Amino acid sequence: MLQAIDLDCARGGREVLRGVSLDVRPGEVLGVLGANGAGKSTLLATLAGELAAAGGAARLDGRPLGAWGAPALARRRAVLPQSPALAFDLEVDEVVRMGAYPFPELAPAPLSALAGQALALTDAGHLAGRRYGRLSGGEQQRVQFARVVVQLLACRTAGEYRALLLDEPTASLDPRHQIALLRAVRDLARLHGAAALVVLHDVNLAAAWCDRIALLGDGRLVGLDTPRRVLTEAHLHAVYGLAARVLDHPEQPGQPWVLFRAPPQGATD
Amino acid sequence: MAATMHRRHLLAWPLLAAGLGVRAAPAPRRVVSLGGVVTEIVHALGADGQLVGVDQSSLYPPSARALPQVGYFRGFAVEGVLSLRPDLVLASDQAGPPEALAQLRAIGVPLVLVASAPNVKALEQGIDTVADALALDAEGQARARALRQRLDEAVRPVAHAAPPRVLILSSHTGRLQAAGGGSAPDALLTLAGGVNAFTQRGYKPVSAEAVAAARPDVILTSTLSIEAAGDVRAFAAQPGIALTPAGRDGRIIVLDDLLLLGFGPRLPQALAQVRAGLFGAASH
Amino acid sequence: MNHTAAVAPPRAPGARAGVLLALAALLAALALGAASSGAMDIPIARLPALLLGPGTDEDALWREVLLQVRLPRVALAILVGAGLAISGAAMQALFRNPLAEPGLIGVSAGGALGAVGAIVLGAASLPAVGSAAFAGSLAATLLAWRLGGRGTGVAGVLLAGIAINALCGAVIGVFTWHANDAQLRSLTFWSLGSLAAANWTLVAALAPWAGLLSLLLLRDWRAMNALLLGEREAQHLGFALVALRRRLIVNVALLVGPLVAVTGTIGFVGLVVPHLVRLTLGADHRALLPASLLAGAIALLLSDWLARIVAIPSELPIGIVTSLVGGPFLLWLLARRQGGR
Repeated sequence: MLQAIDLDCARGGREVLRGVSLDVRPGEVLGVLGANGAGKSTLLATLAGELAAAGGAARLDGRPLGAWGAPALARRRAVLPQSPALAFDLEVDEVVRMGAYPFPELAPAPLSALAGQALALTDAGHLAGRRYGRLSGGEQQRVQFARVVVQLLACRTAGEYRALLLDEPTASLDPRHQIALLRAVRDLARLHGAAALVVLHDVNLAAAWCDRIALLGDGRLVGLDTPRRVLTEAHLHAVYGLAARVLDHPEQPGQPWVLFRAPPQGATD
Repeated sequence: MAATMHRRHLLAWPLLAAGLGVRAAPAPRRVVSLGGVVTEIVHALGADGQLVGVDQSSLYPPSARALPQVGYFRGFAVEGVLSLRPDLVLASDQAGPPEALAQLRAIGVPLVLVASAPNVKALEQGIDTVADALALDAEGQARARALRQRLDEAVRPVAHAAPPRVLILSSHTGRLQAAGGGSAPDALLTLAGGVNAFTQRGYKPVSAEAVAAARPDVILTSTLSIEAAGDVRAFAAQPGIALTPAGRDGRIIVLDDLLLLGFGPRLPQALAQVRAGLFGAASH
Repeated sequence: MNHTAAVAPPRAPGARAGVLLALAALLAALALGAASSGAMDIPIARLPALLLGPGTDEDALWREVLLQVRLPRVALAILVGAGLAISGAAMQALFRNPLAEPGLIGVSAGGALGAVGAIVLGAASLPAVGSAAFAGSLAATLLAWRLGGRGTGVAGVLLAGIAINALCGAVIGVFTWHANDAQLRSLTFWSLGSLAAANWTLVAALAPWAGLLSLLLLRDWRAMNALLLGEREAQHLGFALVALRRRLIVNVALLVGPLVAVTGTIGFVGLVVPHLVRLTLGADHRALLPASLLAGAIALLLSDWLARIVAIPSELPIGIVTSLVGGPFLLWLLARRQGGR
């Protein structure tokens, strides 16, 4: 299991987070929220093994991430970046297949089947056979997501722990595709036992799709619990500096619905 | 290797072709010359009729330019030479690359290296080498003797009370270059009895200021440099040159480029021209 | 719309192999053509007879020319073209830039500096100049790696390489200023590139080395594809970045260094060939790398062929041919693609 134990995160020598402890549990979607610059992406990068822990520990299956080595780590966790890029144009199928690179033992036939499955899951099946460079930004992201799904599921033995980390995946998507993506993430968690951690900026999206939320503010973990317990008016004010009202979602029982209030003009908070 | 087995075949080939017995090696009929000076020597010995190919730097005599050309002697084309079916290759000792010469030898082509350093001894050696390799007839040998004699007379040192200070300059693209010790023009100048006012070795870029500071009495240059400036007057009026005694007095000696930069059998001719300019009437 | 049908591979392995086979066949045909063409007119029909029996004296000369002069040259052209092209493809993947080529990491400039230094300090033979060139190329690459390779991102190596190229150029300038007339000519010819020094000893020494290093590059096709996604993503897919960068740079330096040492600088092949291959076959390195090998061999073979027959009995320096032919060809191909959109 991917864990942060009293983790300090730093980027470029500057300390961003202190004393964060959390588990990314299989079958569960953990959302990470916070204001801009609160350290969400830094936390994700540290848990992905990109950044070294500045203090405390980031561990997978009890071993520090630094001790894993890039190839071994890639077989247990997959990361969807915020702005996917591709230097030279490839076909969609080629991009999706790259998810299997950590698994050179995977034969071509099962790889084709898995790639098809991933494209279907991310609603990008109709893009197969097209050139990546000609797709829209949202379509490209779905293709990259399919690649990540391939990496997540390839050669997975029953019950094996696999982590899925997504860095603001909904940032440039329209509402329909935002929901589709988060639904796909939840399906991966529920049906395939993936342990998902999603960095989001939209509080209500997080409330709708995450089982638990880690709320970051002021360089530390302000709350880590179900959306209802974490998204309190006090917490939201502390983290976002805005007054908020938390209502019951009119259509989803038990789910909170956050309304931020614009501060009166000229007033400082 | 297969090469050695066939070397005998190839060496025998010109013998058989000439139809002679094994006693005396016949005069080569198909000669390739690599190097401008080598070609000039062949011409001076009256043997240009035997040339079938030359290199890119063989620009004198003009008839040589009409012959097939196998590249520059420092990097010539082996197959090109072979395609001319030579029975003798005369190459400057600066010809190359060494691997190409080795290939010629391995294939069994008779290859003779000719000394090419810019000094009289090397030139005499070169003339002797070429004369031997060409197996000259009586007329040819007489020509060789005459050439040596002309050379000996021309290079006899003549003492002068005050040898003039000379700068050897070229300026094609607006940039001035001077020739110093170790170069062919410098050797020519020293033999002619002048003193090189340029103290560095080889061909080096020189500033107008340095030219003026050197205060040469005479400037030795080539026709190309004069043409680049327009005429001698324009050349002498260039910055730096205009401030020198040579420029002011119009003491500019102009030599054909090949004559100035090569150190070959036309040395007596070159020496005469330079001496006339140094000690005879001033040229305008 | 939901279909879970399996996705067919982008290019069936059969198609990929077909293209490579076609390129290999083309290479073989061109090699045969190049070997039978040159300043000496050796008819193709006589080739088998020549290689087998002694025959006439004329045949003997032809055989010598074929075996000692032409075939080693054809073999060298294939080796060097293949090595330069696959190195170019690897550099373009590493720097994620179609303008990248092996010279960026200082290999060519360092090699040139070594050679120029050797020439001006008196060496004339290929072994001396060649070893100096090889040492120079390795030193320059090592310096570029030391200065720029450790940080995040490959831009550091790029900048260090640019700086080293400039530095080498400056020192070459000083050597040039100091050189005498003979040395200057040698310098010039070295920098224009030439395959004239080809002989079997050289080819026998280079071939296994170049072959091994090319094989190592071929093996890294997945890593190069992953690099296209960006360095972070390549890391996420399991490729340790710093080790990968070092491996690719060292591989290219060890492959290109000796080639430059033997032939002088031959430009354009390392840049244009992989680019052309990518334009026609796509950027998937599984096909791009072997295709670049073959296409590079073809390109240099053709260039040397042209260099040998265009000015008989003289020949052009090969660097001139690669630039004169490669440039317009690339422009034409690009114009076609633009029009075809």
